[in-house]
Amino acid sequence: MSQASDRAAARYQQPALKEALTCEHLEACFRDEASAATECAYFARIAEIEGEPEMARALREFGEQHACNAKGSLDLLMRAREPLTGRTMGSTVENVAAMRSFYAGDTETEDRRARTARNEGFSDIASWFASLARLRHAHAERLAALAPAAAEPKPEGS
Amino acid sequence: MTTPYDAASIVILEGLDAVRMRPAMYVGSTGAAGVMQLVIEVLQNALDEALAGHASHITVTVDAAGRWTVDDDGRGMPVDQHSSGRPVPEVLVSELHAGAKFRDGAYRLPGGLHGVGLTCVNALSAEFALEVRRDGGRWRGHWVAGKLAGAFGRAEGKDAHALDTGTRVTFLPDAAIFGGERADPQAVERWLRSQSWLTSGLTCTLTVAGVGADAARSVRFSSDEGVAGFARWLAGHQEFVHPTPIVVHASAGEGPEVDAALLWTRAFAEDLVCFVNHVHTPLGGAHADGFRAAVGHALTRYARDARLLDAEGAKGSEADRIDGSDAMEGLVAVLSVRMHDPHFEGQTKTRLLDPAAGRAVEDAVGTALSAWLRAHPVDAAAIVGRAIEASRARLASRRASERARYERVEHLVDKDIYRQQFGIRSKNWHTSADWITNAGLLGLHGGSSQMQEDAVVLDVCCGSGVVGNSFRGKVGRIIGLDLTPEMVALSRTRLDEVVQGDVYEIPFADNTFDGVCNREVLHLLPQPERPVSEIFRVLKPGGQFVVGQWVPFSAVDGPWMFQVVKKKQPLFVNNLYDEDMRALLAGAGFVGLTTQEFLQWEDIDNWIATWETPALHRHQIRDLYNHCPAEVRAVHPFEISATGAIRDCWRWVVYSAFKPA
Repeated sequence: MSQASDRAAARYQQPALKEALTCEHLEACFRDEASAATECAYFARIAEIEGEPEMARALREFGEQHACNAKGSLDLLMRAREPLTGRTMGSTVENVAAMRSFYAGDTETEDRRARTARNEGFSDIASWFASLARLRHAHAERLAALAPAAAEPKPEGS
Repeated sequence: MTTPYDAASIVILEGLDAVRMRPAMYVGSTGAAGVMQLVIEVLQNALDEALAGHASHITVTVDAAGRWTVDDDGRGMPVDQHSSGRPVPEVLVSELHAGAKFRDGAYRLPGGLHGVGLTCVNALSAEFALEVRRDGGRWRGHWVAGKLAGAFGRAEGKDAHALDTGTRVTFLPDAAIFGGERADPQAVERWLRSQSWLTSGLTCTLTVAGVGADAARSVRFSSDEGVAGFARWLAGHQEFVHPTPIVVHASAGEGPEVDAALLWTRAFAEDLVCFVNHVHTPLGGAHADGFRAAVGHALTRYARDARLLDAEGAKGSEADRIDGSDAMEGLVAVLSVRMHDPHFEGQTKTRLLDPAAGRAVEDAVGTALSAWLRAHPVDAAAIVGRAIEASRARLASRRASERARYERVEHLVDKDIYRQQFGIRSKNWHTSADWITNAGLLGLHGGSSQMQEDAVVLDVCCGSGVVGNSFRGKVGRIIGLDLTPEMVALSRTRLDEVVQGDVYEIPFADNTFDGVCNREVLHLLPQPERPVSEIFRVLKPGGQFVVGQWVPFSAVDGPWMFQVVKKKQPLFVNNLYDEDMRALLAGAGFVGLTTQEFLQWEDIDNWIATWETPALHRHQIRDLYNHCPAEVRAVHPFEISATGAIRDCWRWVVYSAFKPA
């Protein structure tokens, strides 16, 4: 069954997810799981370096599970909206449009964060935000260059 | 007792076809590292004969054309007919997954790529020759681009060395595949030296033909000192914390056999070199993890039992807590594990995956190290003191990062942190990084001068004074300015006069200097606009400012570089891109900007072996290179050698700009 018909079936059987508080909870769940996946992998490496291999193994395995769970939350959010921008997602055309929107909005966010950090005296963190803003701008440009190809209609049967 | 090594030992699992088509899949690369892997594969076969107790001498030569010959005095390959109808040596070098190492018996603990190695070498060589000495005769075969030329058979004529046994492989890596890249003879020398220490009774000889300006040479390795000698050699001229290496040997039944030697030095970096069945595993794995765990726990346990820790933080600081990375700081160690059927990540065996090996190493090293510490209380106190020192440095580094905060415009940087850090680094300033004394890079600074011969130049944050000194002969007088008394003393040997002072408030009147120079400092200074404005102020109208700074290659490698540099240097606060430097100079009022770029290769292992970089950060920096995002790799060149050594290509830009006349 296609994603579009999946969404159609969901509409008939359930209330619209994007209107529900559950959608916000699902988005929070996605952020939690994605953050925990990164943290666990990072902490696992520290444990490995500090000579705690059993702890490292456990954390690494938790991280893999969290990453898997983040994808699970994202799967469910497919019926509602992309969690970073609120746009629709599903096909590559929609996903790329959402990511471009994320990069565009996020570049501004990082610039604002950099200004705040500088004003508060955290030069290194300001520089980090500014570096991320630059990278996201570069990503947006790369996606923009690729977008026409992604938007090409696919041949029938593919 | 081993079973006979004959035709019945050889198993063919599949044919050889794809190697020449996808060489990197088998040997990891089509560059110099791939050629090195070919050499190692042949060496590993010879070594396996030594480990099985049948060879005592491995002779290696490389000629001027890059043709390698490896000769051992082992049993010689079996020369009888394989069940496939061909002579065994022909099968061994032309069938993938053919060899005796798939069955228990002929080799107890083999290394190499297991039946892929020799075949790959043949497949990827323009010429390949095999000579087997066995059963009173010699058998020879010759292959071209993996195809047998003629037949493999017994050489005719009387043999003067009828009692000799052994195998000789000669091969010339195919330039059509490797683009003329060559294996580094020094890396082969390191391999042979390592194996002579790891393998009792083995003598290795390497002869390298002269090429260009490099003279021919021959070296021979043989040692009965074992891993202890290896560790002592690795430690080189470092100052030892205890006089002799701590040696560990443990073997229990069919479980892994563990040999290790540990020697703590006064250096900062740890140097743990690991082997599994004599194969170097540069990325470590389970055995290295077990080793680190054992060292960390043993030192912590001993420190606690001997009451060496300031557990309450009674000296006005945080309570002492040794973690594994503190315990490993300055430790030079060799770890050799021999085990059945090890499992590795990847065909080239860079990382061991078996948790059982980790547990065996942890038990063996933990038990032996704890016993040694109890038996040597004076040395134990020195070693634990070293780890406590490392833990306090780690905390100090964290505090440096926190205290470098520049709290709003009117607040000043905590200059003590800069004085402390650069005071300590002044002790080995010129050897602490390659860029500092790189003649090409320094030449771009002095070479940018457009000043008169009698000009007076100020070298701001002058360090040892090498940048200011690069203007020597082009200007009349060079004055240095630095915050750190140690650096002031160091630079007085090069510059005409040096003043101790602060770049935020340069202690000179307006319009004093014809030129100002500076290098690799602005990224450490919060609000770099202020020092640049100060430089503008002290320059005469028309005066020249020459400033060198490394910058990211693009927006793509910027965040990655930020992480690398921040972990190395806690005072790093500005990830300055080329655009930022241009904006900084233009914003201060400079005009007539010109730039010159310089790519310089930096030895990262040396660069991070400093006081301000804690052990954890050193590991994380290496991880950043080893797991670098593909997008970054595409824009930022760096190299990781087969031994795990990292060289990074830094993009330096030297900016020259003028105060309007």
